[in-house]
Amino acid sequence: MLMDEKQPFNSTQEPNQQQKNQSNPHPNQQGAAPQKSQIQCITIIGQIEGHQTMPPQNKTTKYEHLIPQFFGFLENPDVKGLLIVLNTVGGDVEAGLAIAELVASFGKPVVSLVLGGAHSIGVPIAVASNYSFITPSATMTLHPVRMNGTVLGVVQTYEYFDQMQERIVEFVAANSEVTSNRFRQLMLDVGKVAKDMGTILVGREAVDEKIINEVGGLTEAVAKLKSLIAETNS
Amino acid sequence: MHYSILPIIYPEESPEYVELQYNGCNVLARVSDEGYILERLHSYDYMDFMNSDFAPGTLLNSTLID
Repeated sequence: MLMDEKQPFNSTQEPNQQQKNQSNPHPNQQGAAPQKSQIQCITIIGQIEGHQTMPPQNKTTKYEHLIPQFFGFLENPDVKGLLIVLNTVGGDVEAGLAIAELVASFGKPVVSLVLGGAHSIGVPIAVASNYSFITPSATMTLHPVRMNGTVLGVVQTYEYFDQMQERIVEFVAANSEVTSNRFRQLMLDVGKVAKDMGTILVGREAVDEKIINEVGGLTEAVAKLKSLIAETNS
Repeated sequence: MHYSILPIIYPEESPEYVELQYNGCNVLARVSDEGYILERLHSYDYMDFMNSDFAPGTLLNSTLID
């Protein structure tokens, strides 16, 4: 089969299924056609997969699949803005920062909404948008970076860790109103997280720390995005 | 480098992967009991990534596998 001879996927639908769809039309098909939104929604869920594939039972966000999609949304004139919805435990540092940088440099209005949680490397992604929301029950964990594999027992290892951590601190500080000193303080806090260092922020606390812009849900996020789109178009 | 609240978990056994030609595109698929599951799409056309039928996790239609 030639590369350009792709079959449309719905041609494989069973004839009985096609008849069923015709006899039981979707309610929207009975009246006016549903209006296509100018907003594209992207979900960042599970673990952010990096240079190694995660085990199949893990829910993952595959950054290599998102990158051309970001390009497609940027090129598509019908897409006026992005809504990034996050419920992630974090994952690979570089894959997470790659997504965050794509969001930050997107060129069209982007609003992020933290649902459930945006932990670890999910924090840079959440703050990379033009405006961020967090639901009252969502959480964000700020803690030091960790690494698996062979670690050399030399001073340079600590300096490397610190350098990698500073990438994250500086990105969050540059894309939100929290200062780098305060963010570092939250990451290295002791006594709040069992068997670990760091801070867990719940809903309003993330706003009070100036990491997230506002407490809100889907309605507020979409309304904000539409207003940003209107400002861009005017 | 890992930056997550979840501990690093290593799988007990590695899944089997195969590269396939699927509806005109190269894909990496994972072999499962239900069939081939799309793991990664290899394409230089960004529009292929916008097609939800090429989304990772999709169970491949055997009639479209070359």
